[in-house]
Amino acid sequence: MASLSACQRVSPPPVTLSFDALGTLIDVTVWDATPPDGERLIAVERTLRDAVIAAQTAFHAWQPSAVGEASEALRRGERFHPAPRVAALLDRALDLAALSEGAFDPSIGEAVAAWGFHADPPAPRRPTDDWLAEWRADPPDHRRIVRVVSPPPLDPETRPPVSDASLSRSPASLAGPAFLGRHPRLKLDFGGIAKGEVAITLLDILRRDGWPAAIVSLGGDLVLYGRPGADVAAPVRAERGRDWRIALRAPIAPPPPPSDCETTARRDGDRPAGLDAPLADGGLIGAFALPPAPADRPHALFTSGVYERGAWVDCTWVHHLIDPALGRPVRGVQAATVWHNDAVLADAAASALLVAAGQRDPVETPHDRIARTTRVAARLGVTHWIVVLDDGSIFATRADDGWFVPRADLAERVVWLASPTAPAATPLPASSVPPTPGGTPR
Amino acid sequence: MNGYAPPRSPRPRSGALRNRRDAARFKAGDAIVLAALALGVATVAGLQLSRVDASTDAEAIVHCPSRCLEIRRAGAAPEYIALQTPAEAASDAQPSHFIERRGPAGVTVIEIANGRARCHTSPGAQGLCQRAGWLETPGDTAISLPNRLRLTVIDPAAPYDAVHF
Repeated sequence: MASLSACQRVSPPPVTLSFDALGTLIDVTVWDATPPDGERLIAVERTLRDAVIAAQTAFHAWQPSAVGEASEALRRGERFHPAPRVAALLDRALDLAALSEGAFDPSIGEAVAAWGFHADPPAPRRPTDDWLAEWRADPPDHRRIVRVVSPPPLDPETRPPVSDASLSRSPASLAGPAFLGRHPRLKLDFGGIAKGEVAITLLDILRRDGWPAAIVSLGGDLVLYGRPGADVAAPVRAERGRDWRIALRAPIAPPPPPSDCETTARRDGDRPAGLDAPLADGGLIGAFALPPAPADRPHALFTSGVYERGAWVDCTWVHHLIDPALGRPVRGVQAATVWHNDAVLADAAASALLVAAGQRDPVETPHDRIARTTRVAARLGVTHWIVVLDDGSIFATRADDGWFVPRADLAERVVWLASPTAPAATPLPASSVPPTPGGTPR
Repeated sequence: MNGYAPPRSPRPRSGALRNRRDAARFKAGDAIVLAALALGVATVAGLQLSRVDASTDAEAIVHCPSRCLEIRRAGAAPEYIALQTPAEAASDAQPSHFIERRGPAGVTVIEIANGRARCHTSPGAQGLCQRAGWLETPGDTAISLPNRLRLTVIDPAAPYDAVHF
């Protein structure tokens, strides 16, 4: 019995720190091999809190923020240098917008505001038909934001001497990329990408502070590293232990429409999202099995769902996820989930795939929409994703990986798509994979 | 959730995000250290450990021994309410009882009955918390964004490290 007891590794229970920011709940859960020191916890909590506050100050879409200042400058059409953090994320966002064929777009702020979601609490409404027509005719999309290329450095032989005083003036070349707006209605909204950046920032704090395993949850979107369970202190590449096991909650169906909507023609002839075949409300639709991950290549799981924020307006379910090309909420799809090692990409890709899977034209078939989604995912380099359409059908990639195991009674709803080629996650030695009912072995 | 048999660990662990079954394995000294740690740290605003104020509901407990509803609010300590198992609920049905929790936007009323829980009423025009319906399977979650409140069914035997939504 002594040897058995000695083999039984017991780690201290994890500690969860909670924050209220960016319009959602942020939970940071940390594990360690020994009970954490109180002062250390207090110190890291303060550091995390400061980082969350800084993120809110930088990225808030409609309260005073660095993003708001950048939007003003874009609308004025002046060349400007945003705050470095905003510049870096805008630079990345423009790349991802182009790759996604505009399905993700950081310059969608005016449309989000027009539908009533730049308010706390949100006040969903429908903009006028004139507004929609104007948006579609001349959308202030990402192509209207120009990155200004800095001139190459001067030849050292001919460069004038630099004085200490000139350095202290922070020349523009040190202030990050410059941008130029070419549309008077440009308004940035980083709602589809900022959580990924914030998650990485928080994970970096935990990694530098020496926590061997951690999960950051931003309103249910997860970024995590390390090794779960009793082997938390073991190297992530060690040949022991198990995978992270993460449950995926089902999309929540919108509430029934008002009773007088039964006989009222819906505008645009669309069907409300999520009413055709809601999955188990509040329940789980499956689980992920993700290998231990080094801190510099964490797992990121991001989901965009039309059910999170919305209301019935004129007998149409109005939610906050806007199709940039059409200037109105996405239709015909409930949720899109992405797994990747890059949290910023995963966040933006979840938004992009949701839009790509949406019903843009009444004649589009589900096959058309999934083909478009597959194309956008491939352009973004996303290989592991799940889309739930309004009819309750589930499309998922990489059945061969066993990364996602649907609930047994939903397995027949899942259409497994052909495996893309590029790997999304670092294959690590693995772990004992638990039996997977309804799924495929690894 | 009918018919769902989640993946099983070869070495069942709590699978929990927080302090649950593992707490029972600690030595007494560890418990004292943890208790002191919790009391000391929880005095810092916003820092959450697995403890519950004695002034909250009588049914709120410090650790979740089996099946629980976790109530998590920003700026408050997490709480755990023991839930009957489905078998217990079938053999000994209990009338609903209600718990109120105040948040920034008002009061959220939580109904607990027959081993499950739900958001009975909660502020917010979208009704997101109520729309989650009855929560009965580990991982089932309801959120009130206006009240910065989250309800989750947890179980030390559940095989999940976290829930993604």
